[in-house]
Amino acid sequence: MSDPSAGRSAAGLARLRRMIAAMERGAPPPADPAALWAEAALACAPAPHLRPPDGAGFCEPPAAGLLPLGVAGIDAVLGGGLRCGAIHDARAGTGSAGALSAFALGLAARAQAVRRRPVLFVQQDLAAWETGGLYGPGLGYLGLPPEALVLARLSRPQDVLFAMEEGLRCAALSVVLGEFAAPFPDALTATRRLALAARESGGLGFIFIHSAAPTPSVAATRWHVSPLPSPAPDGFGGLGPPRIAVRLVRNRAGRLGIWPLILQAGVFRLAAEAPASRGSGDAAGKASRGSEDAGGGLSRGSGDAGGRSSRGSEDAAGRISRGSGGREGGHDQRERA
Amino acid sequence: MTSASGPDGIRPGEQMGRRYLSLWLPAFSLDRIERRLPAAERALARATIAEEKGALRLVAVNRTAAALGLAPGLPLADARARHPALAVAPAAPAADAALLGRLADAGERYTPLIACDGPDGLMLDITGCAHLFGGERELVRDLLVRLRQAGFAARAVVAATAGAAFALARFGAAPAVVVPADAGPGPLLAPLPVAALRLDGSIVESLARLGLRRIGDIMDKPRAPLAARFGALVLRRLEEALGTAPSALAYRFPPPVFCAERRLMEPVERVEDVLGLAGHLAAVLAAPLEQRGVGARRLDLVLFRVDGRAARLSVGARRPLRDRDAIVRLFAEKVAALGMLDAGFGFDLIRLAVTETAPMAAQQAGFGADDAEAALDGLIDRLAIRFGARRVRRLVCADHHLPEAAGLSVAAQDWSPPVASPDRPGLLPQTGDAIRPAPPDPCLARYGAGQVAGRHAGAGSRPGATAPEHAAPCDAGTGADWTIPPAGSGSPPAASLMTLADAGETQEEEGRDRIDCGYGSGASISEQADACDTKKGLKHVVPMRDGSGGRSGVFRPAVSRSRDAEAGCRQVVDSSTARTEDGPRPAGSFIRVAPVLPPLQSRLLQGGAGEGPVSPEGTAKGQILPFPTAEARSPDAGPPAVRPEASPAPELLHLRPLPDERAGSPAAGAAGEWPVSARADPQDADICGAARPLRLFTPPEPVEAVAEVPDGPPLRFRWRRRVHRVVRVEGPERIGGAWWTDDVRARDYFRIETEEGYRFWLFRTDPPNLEAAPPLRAPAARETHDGDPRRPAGALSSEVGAASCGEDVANKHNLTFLNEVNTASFEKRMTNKHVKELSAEADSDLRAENEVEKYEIEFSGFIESGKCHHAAVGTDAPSLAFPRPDHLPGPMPRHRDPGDGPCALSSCEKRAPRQGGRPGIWFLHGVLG
Repeated sequence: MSDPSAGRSAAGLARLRRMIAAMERGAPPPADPAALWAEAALACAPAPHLRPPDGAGFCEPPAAGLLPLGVAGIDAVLGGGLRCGAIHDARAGTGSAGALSAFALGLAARAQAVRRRPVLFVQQDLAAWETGGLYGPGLGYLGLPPEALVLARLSRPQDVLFAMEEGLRCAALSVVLGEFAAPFPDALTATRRLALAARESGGLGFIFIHSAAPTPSVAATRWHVSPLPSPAPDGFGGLGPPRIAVRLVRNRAGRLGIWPLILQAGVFRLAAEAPASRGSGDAAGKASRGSEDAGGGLSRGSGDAGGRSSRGSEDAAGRISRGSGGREGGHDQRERA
Repeated sequence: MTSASGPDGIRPGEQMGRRYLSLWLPAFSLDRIERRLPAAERALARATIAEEKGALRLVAVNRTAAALGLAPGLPLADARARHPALAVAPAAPAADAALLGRLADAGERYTPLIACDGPDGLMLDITGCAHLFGGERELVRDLLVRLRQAGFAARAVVAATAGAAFALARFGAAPAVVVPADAGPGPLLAPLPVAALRLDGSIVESLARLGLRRIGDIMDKPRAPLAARFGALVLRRLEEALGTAPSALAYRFPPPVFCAERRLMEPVERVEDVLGLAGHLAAVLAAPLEQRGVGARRLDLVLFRVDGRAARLSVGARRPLRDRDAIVRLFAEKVAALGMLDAGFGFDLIRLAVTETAPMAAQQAGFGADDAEAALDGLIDRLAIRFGARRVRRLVCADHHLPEAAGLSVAAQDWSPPVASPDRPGLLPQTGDAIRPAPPDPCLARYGAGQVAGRHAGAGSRPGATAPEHAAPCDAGTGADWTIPPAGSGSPPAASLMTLADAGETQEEEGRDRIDCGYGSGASISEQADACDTKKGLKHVVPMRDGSGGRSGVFRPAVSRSRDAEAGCRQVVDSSTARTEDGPRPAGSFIRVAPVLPPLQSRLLQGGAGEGPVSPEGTAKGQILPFPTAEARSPDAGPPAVRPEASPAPELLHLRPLPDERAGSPAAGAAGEWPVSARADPQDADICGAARPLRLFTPPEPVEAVAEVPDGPPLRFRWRRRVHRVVRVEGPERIGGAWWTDDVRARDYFRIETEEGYRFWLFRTDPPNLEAAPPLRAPAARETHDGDPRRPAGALSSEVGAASCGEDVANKHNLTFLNEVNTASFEKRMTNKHVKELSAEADSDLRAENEVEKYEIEFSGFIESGKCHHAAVGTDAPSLAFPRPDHLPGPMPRHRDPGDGPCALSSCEKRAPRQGGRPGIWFLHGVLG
C-alpha cells in the first residue's frame, strides 16, 4: 500500500464497483459516463487507507450479519463468521456427498439455531438420485430439526437457482441451501443474481455442488470439503462423529486455510488430533498434509481466543496452511488446486 | 326459470329441486372425424372399424351408412361387399374420450357440476344455473347451437332426475326436451323401452321374454316378483329414473364450495385483464367466505374461450386466503409458471371457484410474530404453484420401525406444524391464537367427544408409551369445556398437541354445523344467489356444497347432514383425492407430526447465541435473535458464539442439558419425537457417530460385498463400479422385516467407514440375498454321489465346499467353512473322479478374482497349493491330488488361524489381505455424515 499508484487504482476500483452496485440496485446508469470516469480518476487520490481492511470494497451488506461457525480459527479468518447477505459455496469430490452434506447441513443448523427460522433446502433431482434424499431422523443428529426444513426438489439447475433466489428474497428464512449434482451453466451470472438477492434481504445463501470442478462464482467464500477417517475411538473399531476436512479455497474477506472439523449436534469443533494418516485416499491424504503444513498444532492453536479480531491474528491462524491473504491468495490457491 | 328451487319447493326426504341435463351425441366418434372434413366428404357413408374376434368389424356408422343398412358389429368384408364406397377409419376410443373430456370442460360454462356419461354423453346438473341463460330452454338451445357449430349432432333433455334425462335423451322422440319440474317423469318414461333404464342386455332380454318391453310395463308391476326374478337393479334404476331414490353422479371435478363467474360481452385476451377479473371475482367471494368464517385453500380459475375450449388454473394456498390481492398474486404466479395463456380469440367467461376451504379466524396483522410465517407461507405457495405442490415438501416423522418408512415428507402446503412449545418459540407458528374455546353447544360437545374417542381408540394400537398422554385430551373432549391449556402450562406438549388438533377439527365441525343452522337447507342460498344475480346482472354466487348436499345425504337428519353429505359427495366425486378438507392437519392419520427435538434445540441455542442457558422466558415471545453484527462486536467481547477453543469439551459440557432437565423437559418423552440418535447423549458423543444416515437411498442400492464370516460385517464392497474397503464398523443393528408384506427378511445394518473416510449405512438381509450369485448346481453334484450308497447325501454340500476350495460354494449353501470341517467326518472314500467332477462343477460357478495355478487336495491332511495351505477334511482316505483347471480361476479363500476350531486348519502363509470372504449382495441404504 505504500505505492501511491496502487492506492489510486484501488480507490478507483472501489468507486467503479460502487457505481456498478448502484446500477445493479436499480439506480439509473450515469448520465455521462465519461464525466463520471473522469471524476473517478480524479478521486483516485493517493489515499492508502481507502481500502477497507476486509478488502470488500462494495459489498457492504445493508443488514450486516455474521454467522460464526464456533471455531475460533475459522471465524478469525472469516472476520467473525460467514457473512450474511452473501452467497457461500462448498464443493466436494465424487463420493464425498456425506461430508459435504454434513458440512452444509451443519451450517444450516447453526443458522437455524441462531435465527430461529426455517431453512429452505432446494435440491436438484439429480443430486437426490445420486446422493440420496434427505433423511429426517438423521438430520436431528446434526442439530437441524427436520421440521425446520422446507424441501424443494426441482429438476433443472435453473429451477434450483430460481427457487433459491425466491428464498433469498424471503425474509422468513434463516438460510437457503441449494444443492447441485454438477456445476451449472452460466454460473457467474446466476450466482451474481443470487448474491444480489441475498445482499438486498440480508439472507444467507449456500450453494453446494457435488463436484470438485472449479467453476466461477461470486461466492464470498468457497469451501472444499472432504471426509476424514475417524481416529480409533476405542479398541473395537467403531465410528466416531462425522469428521470432515474443510479447506477454504476462496475468501473475499481474508485468508485461506484448512481445518479438520468434527460435527456434533450442530456444533463444529476442531478435530482434537491429527487424522490418522492412512496413506490411502486422496481426500484423507490431502487433509493430513494440510494439517501437517499447519504445524500440527491443531489443539494448541484452537486454544487461542484472541483470534477474533477482524484481521485475524497470525497465531490464531497458525493452522492456515497456505495463502498470503486476500483475493490474490485465493487465485493462487485455485491455481494450485 | 323454474321455481322448484325456491324455499317452498323443498320437501324433506325427497330429491327435489335438482335439474339434470343429459346430453347425448349419437354419432360422436364419427363426428369427431367428419367435423373436420368438407361437406362433400361428410355426406359419404363412413364407419369406424376395429378388430374383434379376428375380424374387422364396424364399430360406429354415420347417418348415411345407417340409411344404407349398415350397422355396428357388421364385418367390414360384408359391409364392403354391399357398399364398396364405404369410407372407414380406425376406431380410437382414447381420442373419443379425450374429446369428450374437452367437451365436458367446455360444458362447464353452464354448470360446474358436469359428468361424463358413457362414451358419448354428458350429464350436467344445471340446478340454479338456468336463469343465467334465460331459462332452461334457452340453455338447451345455446348448448345445442354451440355443439352444432362445432360439428356435433346432439340431443339434450332436461328433467328432474338423471335417469329420466338419460332415458329421454337416448330413446325419446324429440331431440331437445325440457320436462317441466312439476311434471312427473312417469308418463314420459312409460313408452320408452326398458333398455332406457341403463340395464344390461341380458336383463333386457329376459324382460322381453316375458313381454315386458316398455318401462310402463314394469312401472306398475308388483315389485317383489320383479326383484326376485331380475334382481334389485331393475327396481333401483326405475326408482332413480322416477326420482323416488337418490342417485349419484361422478362429477369430473369436485363441486366447488363457492364459485363466482363473470360473463363478458367482449372477450378479453390480456393476462392483466384476466387477473384483474380474477381479483374482482375474489372480492365477490370474500363476503360469503367471511360469513362462513373460512378462507380458501384451493382455488380454480376456469377460463372459457370463445371457441369452446377451457383452461383451468388451479392454485393452492398454504394458509386460508380471503384477500383479493393475495389470490391474484397466486394466479399471477401460476400464469408465470405456465409461461403464457393461450387465449385464442379471447375468454368470454371467467369463473373463480373455491374448491377447498379451511377455517380462518380474523387475525391482527402487523405485530411481527406472524409476518415471518406469512412470508414463508407465501414463498411455499409461490414455489408450489410454479413447480407443483408435490415438489415442495416438509419432513415428518412416522412411527415406523423400518427406516425408509420412518422418514417421510408431506407436501409443504399440507404440512401442519407441531404445536409451539415453550422451548421452541419463534420457529413455530403460534397456532394457539387461532384456537378458541368453542361455545358449549351440546350437539357440538357430543360430536367432539365422539371424534376424540374415535381418535384415541385408534391411538391405542400405537406403542403403549403414548397412551397416558392421550388421556388428558380424552378428558378434555368428554368434558363440557373445550378450553385449551395454554402452551407452557402443566400439561405435556404431546397432550396439548392432540388437544389442539382435535380442537381444530372440532372447531371446524362447529363451523359446519353453524353453517347448517344458518343457511337452513339451501333456501337462503338461492335467495342470495338470486339477489346477487338481480343486482349485478352478470354475476352470481353459488354455494355449491350446500346446494348439492341433498344429492346423497337427503334422507339424513339435519344435524349431521352437512358432514355426511360432504363425505358422501367426496366419495362419489373423487374418492382418491388426497387433499384434506379437515383443516391443515394431513389426512393420513398414520403420520404423526410431533414436537421435535426441544432439548437439542435449546442446547444449540445455548451454544450458538448466548453465554449462558437461554431462559425460556427470554425467548418465549417469539423474538428473532439477530445475528451479531460486525459493529456490535468489539475485540474484547467477540461474537458471542465464538467460544474459546481451548477446551472444546467444556463447550460440549456446557451445551449438554442436565439429565433432570432432559427428563423434565415437557416434550422429551413425547411420542413421535425424532430419533436424534440411538446414543445421542453428548456425554459419549465423542465416541459415537450418528445412528441414522443423513441421506437415504430409496430404494436401497445393491452392492457386491464380501464379509469375513456370514454374520460378520463386510470387508469390502463394490458400489457404483468402485471398490470400498471397510476399516471401521459399527453394528450389526438388526431391524426386523415387514412381516405383513412379502419381504419378511430382517436386516442387519452396519455403519461402516471406508479407507477414504466415507461413511455408509449398509445392510444385509437375513436370510441373505442369493439372487445375484449364481447358484451351485447342487442337484448335479448330488447325483454324482447318489450312486454311492454308503454316502450320506447330507454331507455332500460341505464336501463340495471343502474340496473345491471356493467359499462361494459354501456360501451358496449357507454353510460356514468351520462347520464344514467340523461336521464332515467322512467315513467314505472319495475317489479322484468324484473330486474332479465336483471341482469342475463348482469351479464353473465361481467368479474370477484370483489366479490360482493349482489346487491340491489332500485328505487327512492339509491341502497344499502353490501359494497357501488349505484345510481339508480329515478322513482316512489316501492322498490324492489333482490339478485345478487352469481356465477356471477362483477366489482365494481365507481361513481361520489354526487352533480356532477343533479341526486342524492351516493358516494362509501369505495371507493376501482382504482377499477372502464371502461375497454376497448387500444393500447400501444411506450415507452417514
